[in-house]
Amino acid sequence: MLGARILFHISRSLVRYWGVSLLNVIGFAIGTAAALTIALYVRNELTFDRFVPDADKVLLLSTVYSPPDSPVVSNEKSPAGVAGWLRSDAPAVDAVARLHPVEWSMRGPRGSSLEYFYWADPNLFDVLRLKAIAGDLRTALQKPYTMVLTRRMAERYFGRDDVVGQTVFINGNSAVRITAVLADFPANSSLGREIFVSGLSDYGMLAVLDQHPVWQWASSYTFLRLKPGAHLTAEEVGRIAVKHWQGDSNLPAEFHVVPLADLHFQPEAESQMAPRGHRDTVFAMTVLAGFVLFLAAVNLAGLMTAQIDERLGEMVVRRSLGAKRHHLFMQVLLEAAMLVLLAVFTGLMLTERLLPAINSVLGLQLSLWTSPLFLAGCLLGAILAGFAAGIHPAIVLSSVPPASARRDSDGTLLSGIRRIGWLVVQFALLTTLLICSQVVYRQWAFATGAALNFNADRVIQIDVYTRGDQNEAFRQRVLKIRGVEDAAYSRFIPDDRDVRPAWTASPSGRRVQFDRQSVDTNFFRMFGVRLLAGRNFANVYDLDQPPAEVILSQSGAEALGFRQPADAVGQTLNYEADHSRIRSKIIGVVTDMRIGTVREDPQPMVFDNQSAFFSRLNVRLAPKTETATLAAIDRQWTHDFPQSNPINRHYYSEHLGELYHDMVQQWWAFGMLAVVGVCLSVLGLTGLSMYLARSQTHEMAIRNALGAKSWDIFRLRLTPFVKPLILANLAAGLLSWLLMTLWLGSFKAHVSLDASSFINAGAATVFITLVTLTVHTLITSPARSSRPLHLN
Amino acid sequence: MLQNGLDVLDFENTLCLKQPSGGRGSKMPLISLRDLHFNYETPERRVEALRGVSLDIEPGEFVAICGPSGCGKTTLMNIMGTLDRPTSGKHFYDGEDLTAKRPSELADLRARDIGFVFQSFNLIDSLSVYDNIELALLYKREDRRNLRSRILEAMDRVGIAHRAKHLPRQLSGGQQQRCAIARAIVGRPAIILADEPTGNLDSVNAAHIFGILKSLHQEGSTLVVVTHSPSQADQAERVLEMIDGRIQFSRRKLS
Repeated sequence: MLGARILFHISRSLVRYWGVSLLNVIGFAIGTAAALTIALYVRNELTFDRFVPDADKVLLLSTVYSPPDSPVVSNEKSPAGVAGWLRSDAPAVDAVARLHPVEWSMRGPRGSSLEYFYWADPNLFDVLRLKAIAGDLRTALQKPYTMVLTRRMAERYFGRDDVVGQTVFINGNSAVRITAVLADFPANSSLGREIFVSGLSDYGMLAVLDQHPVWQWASSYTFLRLKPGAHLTAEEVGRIAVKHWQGDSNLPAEFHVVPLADLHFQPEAESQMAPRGHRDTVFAMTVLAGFVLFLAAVNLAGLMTAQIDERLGEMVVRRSLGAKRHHLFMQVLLEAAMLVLLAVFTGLMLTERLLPAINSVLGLQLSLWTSPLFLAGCLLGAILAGFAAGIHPAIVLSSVPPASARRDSDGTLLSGIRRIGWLVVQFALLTTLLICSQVVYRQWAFATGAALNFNADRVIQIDVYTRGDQNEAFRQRVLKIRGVEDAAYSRFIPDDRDVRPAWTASPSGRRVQFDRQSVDTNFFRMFGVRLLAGRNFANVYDLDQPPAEVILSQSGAEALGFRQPADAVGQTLNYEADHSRIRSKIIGVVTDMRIGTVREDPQPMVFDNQSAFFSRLNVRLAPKTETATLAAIDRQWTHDFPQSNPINRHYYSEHLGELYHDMVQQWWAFGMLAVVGVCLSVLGLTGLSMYLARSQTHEMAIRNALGAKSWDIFRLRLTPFVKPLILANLAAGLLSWLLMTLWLGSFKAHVSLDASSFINAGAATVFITLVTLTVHTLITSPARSSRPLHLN
Repeated sequence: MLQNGLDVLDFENTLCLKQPSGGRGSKMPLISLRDLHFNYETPERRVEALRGVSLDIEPGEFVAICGPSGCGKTTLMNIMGTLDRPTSGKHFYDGEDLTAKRPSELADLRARDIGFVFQSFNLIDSLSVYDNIELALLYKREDRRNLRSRILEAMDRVGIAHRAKHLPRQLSGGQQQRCAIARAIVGRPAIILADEPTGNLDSVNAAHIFGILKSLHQEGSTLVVVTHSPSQADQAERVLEMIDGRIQFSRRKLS
């Protein structure tokens, strides 16, 4: 009964100040929704690959090619033969299984497409103990021409998931029978592909590789499961491999053994199954989640504090009637709690509605209901934050003595300072978010633009499978298509997949590691890579023999000790690669191309003109003709290569998107939070403006009587916000400078922290303030009524 | 028969009809109201605060407006001071029709020609006595170089100069009202509108404040005072008695 009375009183107070109550609920709901979304993202990152049972006991063998003093070149794959040697020579190993990625055409009743799938060892599911919804995974891949796929893939090819026993056709007319269907993989999976075809199939690459176990080519993803209690070190794997390679390798290869559960946060590597995550990003996101919740709490506290003057009278009456301090404290705190509960519930609903859009934009599969315990923890955190925000106004309001509420102006002055304090904090947080968003965006734009050091605009890369004249004929026909500006062949570059290392010694004796690339004569022109000295290749050659001529990148020439690019031209480069020592004449030096990320320096490169390795046709499209041009290229492909796989093409910008996916996510997160910050600030400002409008009604009426015009009144409304804005900008400038200096320091190449980001953010906060106050002033139209002049 | 507006009875010992316009002599009235109506809308009903008031106030005249609470005195004062707009009727100031004037033009008029004194002083709490007075000149867009001497002069005039730096809450009621008068006169307005200027004061202070207002009139200011005090009203040149939104009597003092 008493509880119901208390609840009634609290509800009545909230309804009485319904305007501010509404702003509080909306503000805290937006903050909760943003913080909850980020928390879900963080959880998604931290639980990568955890859907695989015992993910921490499944190990991935990756290969490291890194001579002393050279940049580490890590490859997520390992040579195929190592798996067999580990089976026979490593007693700690319980099971080893490999996956070999392939892109072939696949045809089912629902149509055909170019499919990305794996050749898999028959015992794959002894290592990756995935959950099947149909079929027996222990025997599913034990026979050739069998395959296992996820429910999603079954739906794609058959429109249903009861497909065990059904057949699909790969690479034309090779029939493969489905033996099991897996439960769908979540988005936070490193496995990447969702179809596994038995490696026993004689046309499968694993079968080919098993015939050549000493090949050192890092070709397969190798997964291990150890016996209970057993350990396997990378050194042990290295010793076993070297024993079978009989020690005559020129590849200074080592191995890493990484638990699958930790794979997502490993350093970037070649041939990754899926883009990596970064712990610093997760940390930054966690901080951001706290930051936005703090911002929402500040907004709540600020708005509740703004009501203090207005509610002093009410509190004095309550004190006069015998209410004790703790009664008032509890009342205000319970009001805050009720607001917060309403807001958190609203935030939850908001998140549920917004998640599909966020998932779509960021390529995620975040869900509120994946872990009810985690969700409960997040909501509890939000409620506690809101509760804490209510403490300050509760303390202030409950400290009112049972005498006159407005006995002097000190109280007003003090509450004015409090209000300004909250406003400064809120604006400082908003400005910091705006500055950081801009810097992150500028760094992303720099990384995917100027930092590349070549022109990557509107470039598509087409996978090619043939050699020689057929390729060149295709290129010539593509060049004739309307909307194609240029075309050039390369091995993979500027895609950074499948880097081939080469080593040589500098004049000082230090080993220098190069990234070997094969390009045609059009490549440098097409990508706007400048020739600093010497000449371009005159032609390409299609023989499996070492190149006679090479072109160095600028950093390659510098690493070899040449002071000027021209000094390198005409010299002979002696280097080790592909199990042999090669001598090639340096015919030119070009500017550096950054094919890795801005987190590292551009790798020294050596280019040759061996067309045998060409695997990409790079095509630059003319602006605004892309759709029609792409369709024409597709038709040309079908015409020229009727027996081949469907065309596999992608924009180079997609590769950049994968390369910098974490930065894109950070940028989106900052952007989203900046929008949330703007919303909260607008709400906070509106609340304060409402309060000030009420508290300044009398003063405005006086000024109006004295001849003040609308502008004078507006200026009066604006004045209280000027100092907080200045203070907030100063504080935010300092905080952002520190944060962004630290963040940019993690890149080898980055934008400078120029004044524009700070000025823009400051201007934005001023603009937001002006617009909010103007709109509110116009809506409430500062009263020209004379009534306040006659109220005693 | 008693009527409003132009046909009000003028008590000058004998009853007689007042001339339609022009007031004393043939001068143009400073304020002229014609058939003025003003309605308040409340959630429950519409209140007719003024019901067809017509009135002329001559330059230099001292008019007292009396009547019971709620009869429309303050409303009439507010409309004369352009703080409120009439619901209907005409409002002339120095021959100029104010009915269709824009708010900014009315603000200019108030800053330039009208000085207000309110019962509740209406000083701005956060500004000192000096700053409160200065405010009237700032909105008049006066040359800032001349402000100081004029403010000091106004403060001297009402005997509040020694309190220049004090905040309103540090002053007594009488001092606050003197400050309000100084603010009203510092811009040398054509007319001073005082709404129960002594209503919140004790008798000593009330007499003192009213004395200041009277002396301003004697120096040539037009003065309109709303008052409940018969003794104060008796000191005016003309007394308007309002009842239920109408001017029921206009009594002119014998010169």
